[in-house]
Amino acid sequence: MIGRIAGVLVTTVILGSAQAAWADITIGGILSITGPTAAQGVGYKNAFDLMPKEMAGQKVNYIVRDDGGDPAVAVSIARKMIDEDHVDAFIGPATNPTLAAVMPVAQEAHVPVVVMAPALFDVHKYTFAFDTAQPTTLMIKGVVDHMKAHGVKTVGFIGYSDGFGDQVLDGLKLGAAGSDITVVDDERFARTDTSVQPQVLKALTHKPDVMMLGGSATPGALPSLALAQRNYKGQVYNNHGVVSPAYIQVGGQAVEGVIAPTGPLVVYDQLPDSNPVKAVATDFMTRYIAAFGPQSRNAFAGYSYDAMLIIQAGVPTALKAGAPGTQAFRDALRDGMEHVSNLIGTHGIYNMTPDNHNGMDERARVMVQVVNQSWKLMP
Amino acid sequence: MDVTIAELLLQDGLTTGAIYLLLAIGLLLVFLVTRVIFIPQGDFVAYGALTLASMLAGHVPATLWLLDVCAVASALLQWRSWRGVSWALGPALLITLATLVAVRLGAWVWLQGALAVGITALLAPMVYRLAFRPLRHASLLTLLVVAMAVHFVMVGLGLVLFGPETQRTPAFSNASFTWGEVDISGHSLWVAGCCVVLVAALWWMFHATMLGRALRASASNPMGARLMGIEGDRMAAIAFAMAGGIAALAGLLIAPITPIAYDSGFLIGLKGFIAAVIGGLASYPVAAVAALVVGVVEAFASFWNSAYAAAIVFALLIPALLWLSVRTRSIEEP
Amino acid sequence: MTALLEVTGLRAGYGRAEVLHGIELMVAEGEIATLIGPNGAGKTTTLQAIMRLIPSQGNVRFQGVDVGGLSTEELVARGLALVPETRALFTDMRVEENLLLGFYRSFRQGARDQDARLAQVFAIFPRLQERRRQLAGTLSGGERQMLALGRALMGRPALLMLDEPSLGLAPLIVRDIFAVLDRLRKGGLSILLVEQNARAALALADHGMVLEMGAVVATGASAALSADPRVLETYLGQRHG
Repeated sequence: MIGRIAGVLVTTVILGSAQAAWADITIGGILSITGPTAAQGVGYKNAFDLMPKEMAGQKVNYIVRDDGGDPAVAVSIARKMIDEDHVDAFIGPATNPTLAAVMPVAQEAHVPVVVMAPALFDVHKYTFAFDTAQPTTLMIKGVVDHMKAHGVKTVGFIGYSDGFGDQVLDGLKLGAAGSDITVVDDERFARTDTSVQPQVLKALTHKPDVMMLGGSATPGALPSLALAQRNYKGQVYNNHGVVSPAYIQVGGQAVEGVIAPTGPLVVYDQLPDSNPVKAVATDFMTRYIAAFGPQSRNAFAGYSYDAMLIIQAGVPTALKAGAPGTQAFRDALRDGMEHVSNLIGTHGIYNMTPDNHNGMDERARVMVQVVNQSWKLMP
Repeated sequence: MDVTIAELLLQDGLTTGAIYLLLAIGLLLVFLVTRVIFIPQGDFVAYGALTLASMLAGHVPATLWLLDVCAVASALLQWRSWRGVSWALGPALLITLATLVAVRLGAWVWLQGALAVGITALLAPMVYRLAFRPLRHASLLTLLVVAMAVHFVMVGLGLVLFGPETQRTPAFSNASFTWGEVDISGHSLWVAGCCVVLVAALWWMFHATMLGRALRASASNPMGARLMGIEGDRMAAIAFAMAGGIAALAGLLIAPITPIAYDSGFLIGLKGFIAAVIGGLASYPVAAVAALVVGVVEAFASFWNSAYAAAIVFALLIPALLWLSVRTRSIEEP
Repeated sequence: MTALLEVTGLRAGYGRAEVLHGIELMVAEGEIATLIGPNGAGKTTTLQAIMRLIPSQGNVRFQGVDVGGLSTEELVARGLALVPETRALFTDMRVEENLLLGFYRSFRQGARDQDARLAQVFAIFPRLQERRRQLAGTLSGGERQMLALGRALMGRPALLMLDEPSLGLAPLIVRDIFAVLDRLRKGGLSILLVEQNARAALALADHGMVLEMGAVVATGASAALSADPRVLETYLGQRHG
């Protein structure tokens, strides 16, 4: 009898340890699928359905949870995923408040985390954090370059009264520094405001050559509507946060001619064949549209997918160091991700270094314009 | 700032102020009759606008099914009374049929707008029946907490029903008039017109019809009203329906100016609430004037210092509350 | 004389405290009945319980029908009217609007003769006609009582229940109001009068009931009760013999 119990115990232990040795890779997704940024969250989430079920011959499990845009919820999800699901890496969060809350948690537990919004963080402090989104400065530089090429002297700015508006304005000022472009006005609005007429009236008193807008998603079209009502004739620039079909739907004729930077993925079908990103972007978007329909097309899914690609690139080295679920695996995974070079994603080409955990360059940006009510790639 | 800009700001402020005015009236009506602080009113604004947007896109609006589910639920709650069941199901059934036909035929925009207002208005008494009626003897604070909960439920449902995208509905008029040096948009005139007509209609109803007097009586002295045979439940349901309809109308008036998403309503409703509070949660005329002031202050504050516009608007509450705390009788439990 | 209102075994209270321990009372058609008793005996509670303003148990028959399960509003619809001690006026509404609200129930039942009824009420209380455009909150105490009574009469009730109509009023006004009640009785209205002023109440009423500690302890014709030594001693302030 005792022998049989001992036998069962031994078998369990062996099987248990065997299981540990061959444990699956677990990737946790923390996204804002509901809440104020729900419009983007759905795209980030859908991409998970298109991710590979295996990496380097190892089965991968994805766990996706919704934080509703609430940083406190995001933190508790992160802790739970670390303690109970033993995740090897995080994809997301993708909003600034939530990712700022989750990064310290991931750092403390030494779990790689790939965030998906332009975040300015110290890579030497948050050594486990990576970012797949184009830095705002990189994006806005495209706008400023366009302004310079067209002899613009004065710019009026209307943006969100939050960190996003600040980022766009900072990018604008940084890009304009050293040139003869001056930002003549800084107006702010909230995405729930019933009217931005006053801000537009104020900005126009400065008679700016062009207007730069710093809102995101569909409410980002509000200033354009008010500008059109005031018959503003100058060029209107917007930022990468508004480039979606829904923006044109809301803005209608008022946003015709608006110029904005965006990732190449958004206009994948208009890219010249010479574009290095085209193949990956086209493959991803074709599968995405097949799965979710043409109406679902968006830029955000690509960031999730690129996050997965960066993790995947680190997996082979990590497997040599230890089994998934162990600290050795996660440490090596981070090291591997930090040395990713020339990785072609859907949004650009990633070259990570210990000093740069984003690694994107100008190939991650194209300029687009609303022409005949759709986004057209600018030559 | 020159005169033209001041006039444009005034026009802008009065337009949004007129919308806040509608919301302030709805809020007061519900509060005075039922003691419920109608926090979800802003959500009815969004539901109204999104219902119309969805119909104009050729879909049967999801609110219609929500209405039907709520109607069946409240019919089950009062299954003992044939009258109760028919009152719960009848209007819902009628508007369901009308909407299905209208969407199928792609009827006139104004008819679809009227249906969107109707659907939203009918939803409001259901919310009363399911959430507030069981607690009608509870304290103000309990009702406030429940109102908050209803708001969160409605926002969550809104995301499921309408999706996360913002929507715009067509302006009532794209015409534009020039008056002196100022362009006046046709839509602004529509907003002002709707507001004046609605206020006049409500005034007439409150003072010249038995139903209107009964609503005021329930607000003035609930016990007295019961002794006149005025059914508190019926009055509460009517007050909710009116507030829901007014909110939906406000939604249709805002949505052409600013795109509306499932969660846009709360802050808009809050501005109406500020106006109602400045009116001491008791006075319609003071609340109406306060709403216009809120709109104008918001416009000028956005012009002078847009980063602090919201703070300036909410700061209007401080002097109002100080003044009220000095001179008003307490509006606590009866 | 047939019983218009018949109450048996009526129990009610506030929270856990039972105030009424099985009230028995009766109002006959066309009479003024009065319920007298000291402060705290449960007079107001009795009226509230009959009117279902507070939860109660027991048997209430009105016009020969059991109305125990009905709500306040339904009782009003059947012709019961209560003028409460507080008058429960709509103070921020005009006198005329208050009166018209007394007509609400009849209006819902299809009646449209509000002008005729208004004229009748104004005939009884000419003062209300003078004040018809004034807010009810600006009326004097006596006028308020007139308005409360007039408002109840607008509904043409079968039984009018009055809770302390003389409370806080000058004796002259009380006399006027009681005179009106007398005229109403002559016009065929049945009245249940709750009064602390037992002497005046018994002088007016056809029959009376004495309430003590939540139970009816004596009942009978007013004249007989007025002569009852116990009643005399306790409520009429006379030492007998």
